[in-house]
Parts: sequence; structure tokens; C-alpha cells
Amino acid sequence: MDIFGLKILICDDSLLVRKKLRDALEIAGFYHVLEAGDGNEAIEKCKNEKPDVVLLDIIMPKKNGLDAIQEIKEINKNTLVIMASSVGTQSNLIQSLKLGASNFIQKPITVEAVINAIQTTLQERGNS
Amino acid sequence: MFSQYFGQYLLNQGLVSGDKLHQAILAQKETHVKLGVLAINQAYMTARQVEEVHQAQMTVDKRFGEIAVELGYITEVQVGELLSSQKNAHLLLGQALIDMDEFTYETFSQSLSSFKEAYSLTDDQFSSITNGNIETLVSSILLQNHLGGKQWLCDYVSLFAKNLVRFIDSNIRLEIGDGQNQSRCEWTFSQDILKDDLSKTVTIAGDENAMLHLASRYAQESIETPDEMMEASVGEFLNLHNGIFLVNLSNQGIELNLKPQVPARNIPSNSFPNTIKLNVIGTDTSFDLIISDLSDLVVHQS
Repeated sequence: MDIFGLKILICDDSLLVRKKLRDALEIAGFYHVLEAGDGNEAIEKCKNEKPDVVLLDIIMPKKNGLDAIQEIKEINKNTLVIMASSVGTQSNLIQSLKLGASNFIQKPITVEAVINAIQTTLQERGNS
Repeated sequence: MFSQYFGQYLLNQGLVSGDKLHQAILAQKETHVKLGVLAINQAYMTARQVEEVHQAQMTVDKRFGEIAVELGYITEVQVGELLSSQKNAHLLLGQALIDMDEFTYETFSQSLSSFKEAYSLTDDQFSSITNGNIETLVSSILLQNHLGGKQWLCDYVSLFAKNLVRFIDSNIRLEIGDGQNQSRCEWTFSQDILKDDLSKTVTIAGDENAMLHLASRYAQESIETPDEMMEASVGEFLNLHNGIFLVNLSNQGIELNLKPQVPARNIPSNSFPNTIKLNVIGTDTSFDLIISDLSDLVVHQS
């Protein structure tokens, strides 16, 4: 599967993180990259844009990442939710996976980690 | 990082002037650490013995190591060990000062000894520090400032120092106390660390110039105006650091959480009671890290 054709939504309250990650993804070959600044915006973007992958921060104002996962999965259960947070604690890891996230990337985020997470999940889905 | 402390110590003791220290720091890049300096650092030879070997080199065409072994001051095994050892930054600084005739081998040797004494370091601790062990360095600094015994503080500050070196500036130094000495903090970036209903705050504070430098270094691009990108960059550095601290605690069975980081301007300096203030001094900037007492957050849940 051509993963670079996937529509990716970056959800992080940090303008720096969104810019750096967008630039890195586009250089890597991803050509459909969207952004959201908090959980509420992410949910709206999921309703309107139907991203294939959501890279979701946890610590955000208005609605944090953990609170947004369930609604994102309700909009489209096949949306691949990958947590991308500095707070990769046991508690957040377990909770996010229970709520429907497929993977967890500890910040600082690299494009390689994102690609690995997408490929691993798609492979697991293909095998199940 | 130790090199910054060593240089500052030499300056504070009046062993070198600011100008000469600056020249020596710049000269480090071209400096080659000689065997004599390495031998003194490892306490394999005294300064007097090194001088004696150097004098002998003027009359015979032999290498330093050969003469030192012949005179019985050092073994061949030790020579090999020194030649393959890491050339720590403080040795480059020491060699540069010797090459500039600002130091003799004796003053270099004495300054290493007096530094160890000033910071109450054993030889093992000193070796650990000069080989890059930040925890040992931070621990000795905290102890010197009557803040020893707080393991959470040592862990937090050590991690902050490592993250500064990793993401911001390898030439940093931390000093206990408020370096800004202003009645107001021009910029602050605060983040709350949470455990159930308990909340404690950590803050980065500094003037606009310092925040622009910090932001630019973390973002790895030039940020020249105090805009949303500057706020995002400094805020994200604090968030990343606090996040990693929480992950480390989680690995010890302590689960905490964070709130989003909050920037603010012109906050009175006395807005941070009951906190520990660290002044971070880097290559081209200085700012404060203001830490609340986290001890209630880091107790193990029974």
C-alpha cells in the first residue's frame, strides 16, 4: 500500500510541532497533510476531511487527546489514531490503547517513527 | 558541561582573567591535549615530574611518554591508556591556558585539586563528572547550595541539564539562585504538574532576548520576533522536558499528569514564593528555571 497517499491529520497545540512535523512529512513524500490545534478542532476535521491517520497529542487546551480518541473513532472506526505525546507514561499508554489508539510515539517525534507506526498497524490489520 | 564550571571556577578564583578565559575557550578547537596534561589529570604524574620530562625533551630526541616511562613516573600501559582516553573539554581548556602561558602545569594541577575540594568531590566523583556524568555534577552543586538530600530535585535538574545539552546548548552552566535580578519577569512559560487535586508549577523565566535565543535553538531556526512561534518553541521545550520527567516517574510506579503550558508577560518576580530558582547560563543567553517543591507529588502510592 502507498502510505504516502494517506491523509494525515496532525493534532497538537504547538505551532512549532505542527510546522516541523508537516514539513518533515511532506519532505518524506506525504502529500495530504492537515492540522488541528486541539481535540475539538481534530474532531471537526475528522468529520469534514475524513483523514486516514490522526497523529494526536495528549496535553492540549479545550479538549485533550485522550478525550478526543473515542469521538474520532466514532466518526470513522477505521481511522488510525497514533498518539504523539511527551507524556508517554504507563497510564497514558494503557488508557489511549483502551480508547482505540493503535500506537504511541514518545516525543520528540520523527518521521521514521510515524512511518513505522503506520506500517505496523496496517500490517496488523491486514493479518487480522 | 563540566568545562563551563571549571572555567567559571578559574575566573572566580582570579586564576585567569575574563579575556584570557575567552581566548582559551576559542582556542580549544585548535588545541591538542598533550600527554603531560592527561597524566596530571589522571594523577599519574605530578606537575613537577611533567616539567622535568619536558626539560629532558629539549636535550634528547624522544617522546614525552618514552622519557616518562624511563624515569619511572608512568608505565607503558598507562601511556597507552592516556593516549586512547577521551579528551575531555576541561583538559582542552587547561591545555589552551598552558599553551598561552597563562598557566603552568603546577597551576593547572592545583586548580583541579582545589576545584575538587571546593565541591567536596572524591577522585571517583570528579572522574565521573569529567567523563560526562551530569547527575554527579548536579548533585555536588545542589549539595554545595544546601539543597542536597532532595532526590526528586537532583533528578529533575539533571534531566533538565541533559535536555538543555541535547536540544539547546552543550555549553551550559546551572547556578542556584535568581540570575535575572529584576522586579518583573519579562516573559514566563509555566506548566503545572498534577497528581489528583495537587498541582505544582515549573516556570521558565527570562527577558525577551533570552526567550528568542532559547526558542531559536530549540526550533533549530532563527526566531527573531516574540510571536506565536517563539511561544510555541519555548513552551514545547518545557513540555517535552516535563513529559520525559513524568515518564521516568511512571517507570518507578508514580503516575502524574500535566496541564498545557502557559506563556505570560511582565510577571512580578515575587510571584514565585516557596520555589527553587536556577539560573541557566548558556553560550549566548541566560534565563531562570523556577521549580515548586515537587516532593508531595513524587511520593510512591501505597
